[in-house]
Amino acid sequence: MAERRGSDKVRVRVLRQDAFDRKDTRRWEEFEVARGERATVLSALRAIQRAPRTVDGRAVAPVAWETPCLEHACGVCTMLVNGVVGQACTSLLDVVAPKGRVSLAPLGKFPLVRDLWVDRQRMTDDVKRVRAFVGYDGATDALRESPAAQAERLLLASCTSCGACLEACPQYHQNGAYVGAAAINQARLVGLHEGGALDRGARLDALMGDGGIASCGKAQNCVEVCPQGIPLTESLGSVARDTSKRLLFGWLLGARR
Amino acid sequence: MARTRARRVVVVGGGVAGLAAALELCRAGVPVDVLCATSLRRSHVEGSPAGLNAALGDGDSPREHAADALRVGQYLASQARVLALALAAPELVRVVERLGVPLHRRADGSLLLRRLPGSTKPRTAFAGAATGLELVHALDAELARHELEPATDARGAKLPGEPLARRFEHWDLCELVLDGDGACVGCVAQDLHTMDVRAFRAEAVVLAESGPSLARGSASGVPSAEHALAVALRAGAVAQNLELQAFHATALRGPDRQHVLSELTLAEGARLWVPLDRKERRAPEDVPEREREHLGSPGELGMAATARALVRAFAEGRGIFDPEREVLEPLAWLDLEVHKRDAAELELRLGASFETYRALGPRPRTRAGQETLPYRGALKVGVAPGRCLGGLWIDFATRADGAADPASPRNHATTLAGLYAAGPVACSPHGAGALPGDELVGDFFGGRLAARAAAAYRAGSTRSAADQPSSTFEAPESAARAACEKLREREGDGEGSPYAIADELAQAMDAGCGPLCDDAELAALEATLAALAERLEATGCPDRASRANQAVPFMRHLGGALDVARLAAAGARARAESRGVHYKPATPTRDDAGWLRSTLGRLGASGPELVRAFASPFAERVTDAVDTSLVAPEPGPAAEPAVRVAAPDEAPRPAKKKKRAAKPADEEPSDG
Repeated sequence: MAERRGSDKVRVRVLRQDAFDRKDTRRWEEFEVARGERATVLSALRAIQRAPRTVDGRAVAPVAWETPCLEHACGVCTMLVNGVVGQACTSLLDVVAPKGRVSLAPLGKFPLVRDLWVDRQRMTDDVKRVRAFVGYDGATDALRESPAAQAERLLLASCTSCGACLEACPQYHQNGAYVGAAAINQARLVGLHEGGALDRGARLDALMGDGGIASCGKAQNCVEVCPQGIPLTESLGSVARDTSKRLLFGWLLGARR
Repeated sequence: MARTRARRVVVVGGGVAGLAAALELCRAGVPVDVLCATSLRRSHVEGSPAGLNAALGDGDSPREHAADALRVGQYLASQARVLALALAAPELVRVVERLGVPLHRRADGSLLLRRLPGSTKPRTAFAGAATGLELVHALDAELARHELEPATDARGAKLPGEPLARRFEHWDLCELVLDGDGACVGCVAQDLHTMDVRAFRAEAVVLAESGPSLARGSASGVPSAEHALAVALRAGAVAQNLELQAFHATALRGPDRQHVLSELTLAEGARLWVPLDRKERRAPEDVPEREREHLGSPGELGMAATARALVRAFAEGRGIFDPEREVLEPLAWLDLEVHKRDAAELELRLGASFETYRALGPRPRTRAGQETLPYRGALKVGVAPGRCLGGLWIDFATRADGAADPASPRNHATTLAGLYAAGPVACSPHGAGALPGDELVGDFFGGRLAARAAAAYRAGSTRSAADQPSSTFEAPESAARAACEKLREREGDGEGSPYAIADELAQAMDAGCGPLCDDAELAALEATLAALAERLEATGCPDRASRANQAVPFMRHLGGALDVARLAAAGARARAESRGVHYKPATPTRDDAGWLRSTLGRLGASGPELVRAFASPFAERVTDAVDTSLVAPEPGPAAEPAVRVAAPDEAPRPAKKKKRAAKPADEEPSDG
């Protein structure tokens, strides 16, 4: 049994807001939950959902958050745990609330839906912007690839679009142009695939445009917070090299769409 | 109502089957709207860590693949569907690699295939232990590409402002829209952010949602659960074999839910056992081999028998003793002594399936109490529900050579004209048990085939949803809006919440309709489910918010889950035999004379009812007969041992030699 620190209760402070356009409803509310064995932030949120009552005894609306998979595969329960990017499903209370207190807030770089629930629509839009797709053409012939190349792609492909890298990035802003590490990593990933390589020119042009790779400030926060351990700075560097080459020599190859 | 001038097809669900259907429609130039209760990349194929089966290896053939699948499915599968899948699978795996899924390779660059339990040849291609997730991500990116392309009308003219594909994330299905003849011409859905309710016109609707989940205790926040299945049943569709529910034997009891460790762990050599001593206090590695009872093995018939062996052992009063609380828990040790193999190789094969476990523990410990990497030591595991092998009844058309006839509008057609189903919401092609590695390729195949059929239906249909008067859509739209509002404002009698009812539903199904079924318990379960449905009607909505209200969809889904659970229980009671995942100790063997047939169920006026035959859009009379034209059924397995009921205080069965008191000092806690 993991040694229990602090009391058997945990006070959970949640930054709430009823809707995107209801800034006036922004408030902190505090709840108390039991610290069960191996309980996580997600267990705490589920306990609050079942009995939404604040520590001062007020019955309130259940806290909204997005939680499809519950097992560290989908990335949507990413939020600010004690002000730091974390995933509710894998944040053990024993770790994040050793003294019996934890605060939860929604990611700040995405439009708020309600409470801890944010809208990551922009991540899909940015994938479209940098054309980070393979462009499947109906081919069914076998592909050959070395195990090393496959292993590299498998690691890059483990991105769940949780948004942690964007939240931590000083250059990425909700209304800014920069697409951030997730989309650039995805662009690098598809470029490593035989089919994706065909569309390379258009993709690099998009990455050289406004909000593309040049906006990266090399703060390297993204790689620190990635829950999947994706080498995001390598991806940023690799795409930066490719775009520089295209910038310098692209006219020789007749840059085309 | 969602505006469109293109004659669109609506796909409900954004997992592998739904995205495969959407892409196939786009490739055929058919404009598509994809509705998904979560965001598209989050819809997963939970039970698909195994990979994709295809007869690509040397000396393998689609016929052998089909024969293996039929044997594991205990001959209850439609043989035409099984053969069509096996014939299509090699090309489908090529498509998957062309889509960018990083499938593992051999040194020469060709696909690495592994052999899974039940298969006679190595035939499973895979990407780590998250092949389904990788496929969803690849398909999602391709859909994004089609969202950048314009839709065209029948003459090929571009429709400005109308993309070929449109995604509606966080839209939850409420109702189907049927025309005067009962054909499906669209659906009504709710935006879970704004709570707006809108009708969608559709030339055809493809349901590609999850199967029974809330009914089986995978209660979670917002996801759609089995609601599409319930909606179709309420519109009059027929379900098939809902009693055929698979169970995992390797579920880690997590703090929030059961985390299913991939059964690949067993395929890679791990073993399941319980101590013979009911008060065993020693750490698992200190329990000698002769004081362990090993439970099942990933044999020919997959995991079903292993899950049952666990349940039987628990019923006999065996399990893992928790010395702190002095109780015996219904858990077994999963012994990960698979380290004879290269650790890097195991990481490649099992890594992703251990990811959650790494984050959440409990870690196995060495004798010195140090936490170790997951491939040594032992883990506590129990039984948890997996995938349901039944679902909406769907039609199927094959050519003379056994392959699917992709041009036919019959494929994956439900009992309602214009309504198609693929993925877990549809009855699987696996019969009474799925060959590990067949589920994912089956969903991918099903989604593509359903899309081709929906496109053929759209092309061949003399009427169009576009010709329907707007009243066809406005009436169900406003009815659904009113229903949502009513649900949101519902006052309860003060006691009980929908979440408590969901927990009770899961517990009741677990107790009455688990891996071992009993008729008396099933009858009691049916009464419990009816009572829960009544209680839900009297339960108030715990949230009054008019935006992003998660309680409203949850209550809606729970009502549907209860309907589905009642049909599953009725089917389980009817099937008086044991076959594949379905097992009744009272009738412990397969009964081909009486039960080589499907159960067919629908929601009648007076609740769930089972039928022997019904009419479909393409056939006047469909019966519950099972086609065995290709492979004659081999005899089924022998009856499994009965549960030896022991008195609660009965001393543990004398193990060969007991030395319990010998090592009192050695009571190191075995885990976290």
